[in-house]
Amino acid sequence: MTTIDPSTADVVLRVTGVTKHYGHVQALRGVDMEVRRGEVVGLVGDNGAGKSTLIGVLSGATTPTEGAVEFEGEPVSLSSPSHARDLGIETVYQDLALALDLPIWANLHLGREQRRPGLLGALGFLDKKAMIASAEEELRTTRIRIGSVDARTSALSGGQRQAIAVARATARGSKLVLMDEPTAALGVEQQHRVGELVRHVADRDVPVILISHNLPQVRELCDRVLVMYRGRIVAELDPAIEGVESMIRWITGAALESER
Amino acid sequence: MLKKHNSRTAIGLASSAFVLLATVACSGATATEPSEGADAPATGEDFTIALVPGMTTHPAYQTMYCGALQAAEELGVTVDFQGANAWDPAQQLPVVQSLLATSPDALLLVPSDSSALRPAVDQFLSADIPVITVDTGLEDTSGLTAEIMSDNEQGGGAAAQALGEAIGGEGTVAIISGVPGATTDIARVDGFRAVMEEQFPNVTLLEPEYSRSVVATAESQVQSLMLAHDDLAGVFGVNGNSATGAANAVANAGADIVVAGYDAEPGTVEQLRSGNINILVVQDFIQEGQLAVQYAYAALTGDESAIETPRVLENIIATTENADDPEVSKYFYIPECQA
Amino acid sequence: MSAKRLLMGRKQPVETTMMTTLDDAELDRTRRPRTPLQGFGAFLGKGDGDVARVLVLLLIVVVIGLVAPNFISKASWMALSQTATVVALLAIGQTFVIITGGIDLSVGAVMACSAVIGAVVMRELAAGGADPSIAILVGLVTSLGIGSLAGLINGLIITKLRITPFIVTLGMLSVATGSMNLISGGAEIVGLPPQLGSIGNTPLGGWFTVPVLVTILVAVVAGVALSQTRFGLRTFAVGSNQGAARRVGIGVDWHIVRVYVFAGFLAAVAGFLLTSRFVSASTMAGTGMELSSIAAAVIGGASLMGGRGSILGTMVGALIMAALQIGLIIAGVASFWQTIAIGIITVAAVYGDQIRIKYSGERS
Repeated sequence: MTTIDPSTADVVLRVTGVTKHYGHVQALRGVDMEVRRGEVVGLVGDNGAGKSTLIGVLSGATTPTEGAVEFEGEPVSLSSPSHARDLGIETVYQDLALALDLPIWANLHLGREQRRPGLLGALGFLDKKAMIASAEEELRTTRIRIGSVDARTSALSGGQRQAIAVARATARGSKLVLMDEPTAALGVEQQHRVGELVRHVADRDVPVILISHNLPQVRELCDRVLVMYRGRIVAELDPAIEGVESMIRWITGAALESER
Repeated sequence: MLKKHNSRTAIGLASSAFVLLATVACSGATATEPSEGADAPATGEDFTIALVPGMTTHPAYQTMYCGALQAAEELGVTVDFQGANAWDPAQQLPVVQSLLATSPDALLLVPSDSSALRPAVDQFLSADIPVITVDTGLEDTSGLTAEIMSDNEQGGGAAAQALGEAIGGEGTVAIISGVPGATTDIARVDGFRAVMEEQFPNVTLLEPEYSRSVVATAESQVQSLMLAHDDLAGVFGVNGNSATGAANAVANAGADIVVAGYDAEPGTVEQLRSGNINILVVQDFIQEGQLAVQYAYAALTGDESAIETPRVLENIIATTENADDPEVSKYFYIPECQA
Repeated sequence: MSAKRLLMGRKQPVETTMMTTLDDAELDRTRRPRTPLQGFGAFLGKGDGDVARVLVLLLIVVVIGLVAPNFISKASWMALSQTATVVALLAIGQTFVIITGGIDLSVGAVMACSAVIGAVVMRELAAGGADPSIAILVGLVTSLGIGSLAGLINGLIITKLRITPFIVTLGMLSVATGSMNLISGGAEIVGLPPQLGSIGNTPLGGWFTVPVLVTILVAVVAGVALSQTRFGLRTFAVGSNQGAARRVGIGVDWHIVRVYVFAGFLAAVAGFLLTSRFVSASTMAGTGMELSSIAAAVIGGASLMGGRGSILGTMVGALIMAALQIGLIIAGVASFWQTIAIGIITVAAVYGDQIRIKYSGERS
């Protein structure tokens, strides 16, 4: 298994011996990993290697069969996506999970709407002013410029929508951001912009786990890269040293064969 | 209001004449039948006659059931009342088909569709069970022992006569029909129109509005018609719900407009008594039920000469004035026939 | 198994200047100078097209008023407002349902069913010598209970058994109609406390009957709930992207159930008000009302795809339909033209919305 650097003061997430069985299918065969403050960790692997199952476990969507997850030093049992969110684990889904008919500010606050103080709030009245103000603030700190946060989200381009999804995930005290193929549907220029957003999140000391098939992009963005193969993490690579060719050898299992 | 009172008196006079006619006609009819019934016990037969109404629970068919029971008691036969609880051929058909298994001696049927029920009727005929249609009819009448129906054209005409007299033969008259294309409604409208045009040439008759038998729709249509025609003098609602809606519109507006309706259901009778409906065409469901059983008995006992087919029954005109007269109110529909 | 060791060094922070502004050009489009025609188009599109809808309603009123001056009268208003209440109440519930991406075909049947059962209760209580106001109150509570129950069943089957709303509510239409006929015997229910009539028919202040006032109150409450509360926002979210709503932690199933209960409840309110107007309950009252309510919501800008709609729009939609129903008769137009006109306006309204959305720069 992967050897972990012993200096663990900055560890945000620690996963130990996580497995997941679907009947006879073993999607995860014992995963160990650590994520530290402010780093961007790439998670690569072929289709079926277990990346999505692992992200599912971390985002609370999937319950592991065995193993432990420690978050900020505390053992946690992630029972649902909203539980994970409450802990500060945010996920940017491949399909973005935006309600396009809603205004931008509403998407940024969806599921955590602010209500007015007092009786009106108890009746469910929204504090739109506060949400619009904090939405503008969030976009400012994320350095995303969008005309008006009151515009319908469907009026945005693909890259802008991606930015909103990222901004939502990184807003308000998020402590770990999971990104599942955030650039798969984007053009080159927009991919570049999302990459900048990812770095920006890490710069705020929030770690990011990035799943991507785009290996050049993974090399460019990530501080280290974990390779999954048949339900295990088989390698931890330094993108500064290892090239795309080497990653592919690990992803396809060729590197494992030659080391044996 | 005074004028309204006058017009009501006029209706009273006009329609009492009609009722008189109708009662004479009816009593003439019933007078002949019991003579056949008198022979019945002598034959000693114990016939079971199935009666399948359009829908079991409607007051009109409960009334028909009561008529059938009266005749059955006189003749010493049994009536088996079976049916669907909604007006729907898809529900009525299985009832009719399953009755075949009980081998009744005769079938009295109110077909809820003029063609959908024909195959089931054929099954009865091939089992040598006589079939009589009551109230509504079949397109293909071959093989039927008899058809008994109420004369919708005559009913519409009677309403026109009473309404025309009540408004003094002047002004505009509107018609609120039910669903476009319904054959009974068309016959009633045709009869109404024919008599109105012939007897009251000074009346302006409007094209029918279609309420689809929704009370609220009928109400708003009449409200609108009152605005469109200052001289609106009368409204004919060709079924219970259309009449109820029309009556509500007129009553709420406090307008001097005569409302004629059709069918003596509990709701329309209440409106008739309160004066919101002034004229009501009442079908003689008691006699329909009686005749149906008598004809079935005649067919079973080989007395074909007693059967007159098709037998078309005239309707009765009830008014606010004579609504409490037992000679009229006996025709009002019975919500639930106690067997 | 072996693995490689590597440096844990962090990449350098990105320079602020590298952060590019996203799609400035696209955002600027709205700031470009416009021709007067474009300006007028933008004006019509305001409030998600509600400005255009109100103008269409005014146009219909003015045109019919010119042809038939009687249309602009108090009596006409009384007829129009009464007529609009039933469709409006059903359409308000329908709007919430449609915004969640569902449809409720049972509102008309549930209205008639709850009204008839409530009326049977009132009739029996009145016949048993109960105080009329008690009888009316118990009848009202029964009606509202039946309507809410039907909505609850709709919602639970849709969310728990995962059957599409179209099928579930089509089934409920049938069940409600059948139950009603079983209980009523298919006949109109009469013999109700006469005091009911004063609820339904007395004009307050001369211009508004109780049913009309209740409808206005319901519309205001529903409009505020939809546009100002968390419940409203989440209704849009559920219809716009159900998966997204689930993943941000919204209790989607429970939300959908509540929306169908609301639609059933409003159907019962509409049914009770009808009963109060006619002091009787007709089994035919709901015939075709599900389609009228859908038409009103769609004319009002609700999208059957979910995520769009407004109560103001729906109310305008209901008023347009009532104005045509009343106005064309007053104008002496043959009655079949009403249904033709409503059909044309429904389709035209949807087309107009599509045009508006296209020019507002939204993408799917």
